[in-house]
Amino acid sequence: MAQTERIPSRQTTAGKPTGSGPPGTVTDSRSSERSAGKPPSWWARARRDKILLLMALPGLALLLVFHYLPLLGNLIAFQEYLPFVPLGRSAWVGWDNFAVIFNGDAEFLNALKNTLLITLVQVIFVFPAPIALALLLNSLLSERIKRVVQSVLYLPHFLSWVIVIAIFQQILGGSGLINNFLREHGMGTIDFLGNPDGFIALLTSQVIWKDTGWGTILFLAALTQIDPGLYEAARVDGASRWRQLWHVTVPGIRGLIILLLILRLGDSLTVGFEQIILQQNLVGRPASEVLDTYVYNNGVLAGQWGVSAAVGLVKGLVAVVLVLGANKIAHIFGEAGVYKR
Amino acid sequence: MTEISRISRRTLLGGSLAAAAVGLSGCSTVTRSTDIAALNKPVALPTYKRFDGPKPDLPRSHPLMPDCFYRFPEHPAKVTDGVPADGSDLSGSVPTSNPIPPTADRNLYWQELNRRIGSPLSLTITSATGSDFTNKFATSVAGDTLGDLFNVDGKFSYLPQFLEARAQDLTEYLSGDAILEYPFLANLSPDSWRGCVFAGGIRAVPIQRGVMSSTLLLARQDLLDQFGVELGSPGVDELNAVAKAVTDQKKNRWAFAVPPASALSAMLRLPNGWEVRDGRLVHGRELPEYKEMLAITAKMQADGLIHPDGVAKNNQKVWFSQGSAVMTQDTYSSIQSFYRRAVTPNFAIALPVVRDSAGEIGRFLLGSPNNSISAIRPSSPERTKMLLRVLNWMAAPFGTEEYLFRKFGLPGRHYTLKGTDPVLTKDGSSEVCLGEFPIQYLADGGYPVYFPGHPEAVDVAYNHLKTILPTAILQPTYGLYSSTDSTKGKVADKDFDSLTKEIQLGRSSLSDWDKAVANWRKSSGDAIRHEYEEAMAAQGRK
Repeated sequence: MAQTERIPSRQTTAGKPTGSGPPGTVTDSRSSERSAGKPPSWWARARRDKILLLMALPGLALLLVFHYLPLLGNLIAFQEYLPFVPLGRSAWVGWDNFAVIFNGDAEFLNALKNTLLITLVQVIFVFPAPIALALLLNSLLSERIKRVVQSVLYLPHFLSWVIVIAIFQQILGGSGLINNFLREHGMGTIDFLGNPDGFIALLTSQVIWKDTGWGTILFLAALTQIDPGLYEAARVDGASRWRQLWHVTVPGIRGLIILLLILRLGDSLTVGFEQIILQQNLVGRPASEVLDTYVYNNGVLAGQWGVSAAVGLVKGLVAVVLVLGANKIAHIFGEAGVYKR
Repeated sequence: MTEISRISRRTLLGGSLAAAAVGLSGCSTVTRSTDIAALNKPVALPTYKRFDGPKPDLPRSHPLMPDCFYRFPEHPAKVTDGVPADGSDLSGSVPTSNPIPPTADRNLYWQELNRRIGSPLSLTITSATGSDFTNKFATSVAGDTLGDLFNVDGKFSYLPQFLEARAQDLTEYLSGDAILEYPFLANLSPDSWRGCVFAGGIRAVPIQRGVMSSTLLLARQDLLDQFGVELGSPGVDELNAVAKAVTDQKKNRWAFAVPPASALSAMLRLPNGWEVRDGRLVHGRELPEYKEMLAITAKMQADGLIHPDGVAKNNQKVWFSQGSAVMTQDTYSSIQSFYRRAVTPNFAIALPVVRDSAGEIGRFLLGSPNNSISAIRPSSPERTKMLLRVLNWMAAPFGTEEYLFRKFGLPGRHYTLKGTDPVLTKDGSSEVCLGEFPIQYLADGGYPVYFPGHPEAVDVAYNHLKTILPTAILQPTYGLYSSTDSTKGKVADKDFDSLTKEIQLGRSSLSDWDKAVANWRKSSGDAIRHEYEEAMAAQGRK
């Protein structure tokens, strides 16, 4: 959330190089302060921020215990691991487990292909959806209607995938709402759910239905941070609503869009494990296997824990590279990215 | 081994650090044993001695015939003295298919259970739905948190190796006449015990279901009567004719809730998994009969005889009990649940005996004799004996006082009597977990044919069993271990399951099946065949 609070200041600096529209009049006093003069010593800063640091401790501890310590478990990527044999007794096999990746095991490549395809489709269709919805909501005049609509839109986020998929089955299934209607009126039925060719479209629509509302939260917060004075100035200059949107609103949330896009890249090899495994049986693995289900099917089911850990490890490394790379590109284009340098 | 496992059982943080440290300093290593002959070494099975308990209402016509009871025996007798445990803390992990019961401090049943066992029993209960238990089991194995007594996930890869490493070898306590010390365990069938032998030792205790877990064709007799349709004892053509007669899509009624694979397998005399034909193991899916079954079910689907979601989504229990499907396939033990769900008072189930092309009784394929198995953590001989006494207590047979308490709790609070049949109260349903408190996944007695309130259904099941049991077959590979089947084989099974659905839905053709079989033979099928042949040789079976 701290990121969103700083959005207006970032927008002003970011607006300059591209020169799109009036950048506004807000000056970033904090950043000039930070770059000027000698920074205080480490100890002085620690003393100054001791309350904040103290407050960060529990979170840091959680991060350590649940994220960093388990990283040690990646050892099994280099072992012929069996869960009932202690780590130290499992045979060391070096890079053998990575063979599926280096030699291009057909199933692995298929999982990789599906993963990338789903990521691509989701970045194109799922990612912009909350932005569009947030802009739409923002243009609603009545504050009360806005609140109600927002609450309704947030709800699906809190349903588990099991329930979301059951709802989709009730509506699109062979005996669901739509097909029952078609059947009663003597028309042919449509197989929405079991069609491998439509699987990605199905996944994407489910994600959009479930999480678009939730995704608007950050954007709406960013939108409220835009200085109303900018809109006034634009109106005085005779800008239409469309031009206000393009020249004031969009630049106002551009930093956040880029930030989220970079973080999304980090998740790009992670596409809805639960959602897919629940629906996998119907469309078959060739159309639905992604890296996460590959790890599950081959690791937990088929007892190839080492190979799965290897694939998981590589997946994590790729994500790190993607995030850092995208962040670098953002810096090159003058954006703040995930963190400032 | 024990030293290391003690360390990793400590706190999360310490455990991970210790594991990492050990990871760097370990010397001797363990690899996956693939010695099929050693993993399938036989052992003398426990002596079977039928417990002289309540007498079934119908004669046992066949060794596999379960005990059939019209009603719960009057005046159930207490068949044990004292308490089996020694007062020390007991722990265990189990799955459940029901809502998880209240914890012991808020659960009168559990408190009484502890009193009767003679030790406080703590349980880690995991939902059996989906893959929750599989995942929980794998992580509990890795973290060594299974407890003294644990239900074993039968799908776990490298099961014999796991049990050899982490479960008490029970051979000296149970093999041969040694088991007679535990009369209720000796009351479990030799077939069930065969499923507990791994790598030359008895390493588990069966949760016996006998033939009750076999799937078969179930029909709504009340609906057939209503439409004036006679199902009788059908072959393929008769079944299709009846199916067409009862289907009415406009009224949301279909003949089958799911593709009737069990009935068709019996009609086409398919093998139960692998089978020796001409001196060589062959899997059912390699045979032309199997493709015939696929073609028949695909035709049924195309003709609109199967519920539109039948291939895709198995909500068949609801469709069958509400009448949107006239036939389904499920287990013998499911009959009770259908009567419980029934929405009409004249609800009645028929179990048609199906026939093959020659008009003979179709060859019935039996399910696994066990629901699952449970094992004991390696312990001292005294403690092992004590734990076996506890399991023995949990296996007291149907009709005894111990059974009545185990499944129904305390009179008044947990159940009331309707005639002699116990009926769970609201507290009973919650505290005794719908009559299936999960200790039934640590040990249980044989599963009876008993459908309280529906003696006529007992007759129906009995007559079906009496007819089909003489020619029914178990999986020939039951009780054998193939490392490839337990790893790659499971993923292949999943793929064939998907392909079956695609063919039934008309999206793939039978030639795709041939291709898939050819690929499977190369990638794992032939290896599995070879391993099972070796395993059969090791056990002296042919």
